[in-house]
Amino acid sequence: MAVSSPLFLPRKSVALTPSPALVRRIATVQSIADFSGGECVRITAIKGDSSLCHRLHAMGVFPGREIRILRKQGQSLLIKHGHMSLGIRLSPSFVIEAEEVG
Amino acid sequence: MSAVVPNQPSFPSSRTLKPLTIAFAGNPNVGKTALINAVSQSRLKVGNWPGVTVEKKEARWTQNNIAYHFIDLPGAYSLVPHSIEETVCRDYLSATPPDLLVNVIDASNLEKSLSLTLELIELQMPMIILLNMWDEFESREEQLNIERLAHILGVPVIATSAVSGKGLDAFKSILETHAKQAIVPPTFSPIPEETSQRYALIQRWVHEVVSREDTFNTSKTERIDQFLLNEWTGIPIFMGILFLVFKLTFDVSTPFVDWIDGFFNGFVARWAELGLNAVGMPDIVTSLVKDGMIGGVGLVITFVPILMFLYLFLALLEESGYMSRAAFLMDRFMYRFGLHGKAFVPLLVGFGCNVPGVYATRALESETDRKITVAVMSFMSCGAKLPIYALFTAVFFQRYQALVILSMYILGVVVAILWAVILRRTRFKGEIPLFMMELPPYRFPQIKALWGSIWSKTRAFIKQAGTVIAMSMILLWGLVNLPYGNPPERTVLGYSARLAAPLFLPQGFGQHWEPVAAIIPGFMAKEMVVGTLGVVMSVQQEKTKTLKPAFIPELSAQIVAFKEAAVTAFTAVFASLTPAPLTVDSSANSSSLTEAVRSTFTPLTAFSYMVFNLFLLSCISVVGAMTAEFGGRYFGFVFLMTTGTAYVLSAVVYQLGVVLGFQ
Repeated sequence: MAVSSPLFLPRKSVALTPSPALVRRIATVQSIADFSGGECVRITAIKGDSSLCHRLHAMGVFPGREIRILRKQGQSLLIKHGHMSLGIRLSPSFVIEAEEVG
Repeated sequence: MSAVVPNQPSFPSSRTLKPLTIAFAGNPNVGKTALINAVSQSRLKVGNWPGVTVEKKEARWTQNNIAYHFIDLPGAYSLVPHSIEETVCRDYLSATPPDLLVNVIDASNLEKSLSLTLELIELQMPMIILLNMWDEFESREEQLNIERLAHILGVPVIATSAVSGKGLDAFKSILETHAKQAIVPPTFSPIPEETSQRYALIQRWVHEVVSREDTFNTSKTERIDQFLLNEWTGIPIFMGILFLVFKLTFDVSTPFVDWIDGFFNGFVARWAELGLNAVGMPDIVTSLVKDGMIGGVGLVITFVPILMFLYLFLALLEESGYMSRAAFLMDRFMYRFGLHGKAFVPLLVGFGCNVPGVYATRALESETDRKITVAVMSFMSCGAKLPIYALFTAVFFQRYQALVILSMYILGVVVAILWAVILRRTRFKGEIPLFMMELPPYRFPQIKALWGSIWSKTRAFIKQAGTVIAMSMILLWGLVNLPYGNPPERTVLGYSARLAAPLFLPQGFGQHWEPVAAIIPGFMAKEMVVGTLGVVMSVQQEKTKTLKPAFIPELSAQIVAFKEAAVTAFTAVFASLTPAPLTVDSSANSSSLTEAVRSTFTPLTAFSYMVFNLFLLSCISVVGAMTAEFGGRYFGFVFLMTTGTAYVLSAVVYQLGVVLGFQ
């Protein structure tokens, strides 16, 4: 029998294939600016200047946090978490990544 | 309501003799200032923190023979500083630990506030927590277990409201207790260092003490924001609000400005002159006192009504929560030109008067943003430049008067945008700071808070900029009058103008010394350009009729005039709401002056002269304001930038005009 099916490849190679869950996750994680107004998202990462990251943390925006995008106009976003509304303008050097909730 | 104090040992304080320093720290918009005002019965004073332009608010208050010194620290989200306010807050707490640290928290937003609280606890200082805006929290269907929170944090907690006065007695009593027996610093351990762990801890505490609800519910604020921040309605509403603020400020304050002008330059100056003449003072002293000193003080005071009304309307926008929304709306457009969204309001105010515009930049957090905004402020053609345009357009561009005046305003805005872009790419190189701003819920402004904001800022203006303005007016008197008794062309001003005139040949108006002579007084105040042109062109002015002095009737007339000004100001509130056509004051255009101007200028040199004045700094008061806010060095840069722009662009306009065949 010809050995052509990937099923017969060494185990190591099989392990490199991303799991369906991870594929789904990668597909859903995107910049917060790519979501539209009204969507609820979960922050997955904040990338950029460390002092800005710290500031956002101090304002209660950090990975794992669920927020709602109230309004989106270009790179300007109005987000809400808890009772706090926050206006943000993102830049190419400062990115907030998020995934859709539910 | 009494304070909830966790069980803790106490030890006697040794600091009961000198004032106890009580520092209030907390996030922005949590009501620290209102609380201090409520406790200290509005004794708040505003100054600057050393070396920076961040407002320093403090108050002194005594109760039961114990003196307290309240320090209102700038709003901060963290002690790891990101803004100049946070640096000031951290530096103060690390350099001069207060006797008691009061952490003010927005009771409705515990989770956000506790991040800073955790950092403050780590400072190991005697500390209490005020859960402020408690009435707002109570209006929600939530419960907060204060006892549990105090127990968890190991810090006394009081629920307060500056509006209703709730908890203030408990706060005062805990201050007194602390004066006798100092509160022991919280000893909370271990506090995790990892950010995510700290938040996990905070979230656990919040779940423990707050019974909650779906926080994603649409609130009243969100419903209002659906209109005010809407893509289609947001900007028009904002423009409408700004138009009203701008118009009301100047319409309502103008009658008072006119009255103050008349009071100082008419009543006070006249009686000072009479008094000095009666005691046999030489004419030169009388002139110095009357025109230099009283005129200088009068000029400072004339700005007070404008500033007070402007501060009132700006405080209304700030306290209601709209200001941060306006900044959010405008940021989308402004950042393309290197300006922060919050810079829009000060620049617009600058069209009325640059002086309050400079002070309005205090709303900007970043020093760089403030400096760029102030640098381009002078290009916003202020109200005092209008009489210059009115005179020259009436003489040379009668048919297109409104259009030529409008072109001046547009030219100013275009050059301001260009300079903002240039400054952001050169002197203040770097990425435009990220816009990140909390939008507080809408609230009804409290009268006490409004008055506190208006008065403290106005007092700071009189003290800081007032001194510079008054001194400069005395200097100007010397220029125009010395050697005393000589005709205008043989005074210091006349000689200087003759000497400097050739410098303005590229601009077209250097062939005569008179236009150049009007530039220096114009630097003091643009209102003086037209007047000085009248004086140096030897236009005969009608002598005012000298009335027989009668102090009491004249004083009564002043009081009546003040009442009339108040009535006019009141009616102006409603008049401002109705549309009015653009009118140009042509009162200065007496026929003899227009004739003199016609013989000295050509249409092209007149246009060049208007452009030159448009780009110059508005007045000595702006110098005072800029120096007070940013120091002499930065003012020097702005002076060179604006004067250079004025010199080069007016020359370009003239030379281009000549090439195109204009005269």
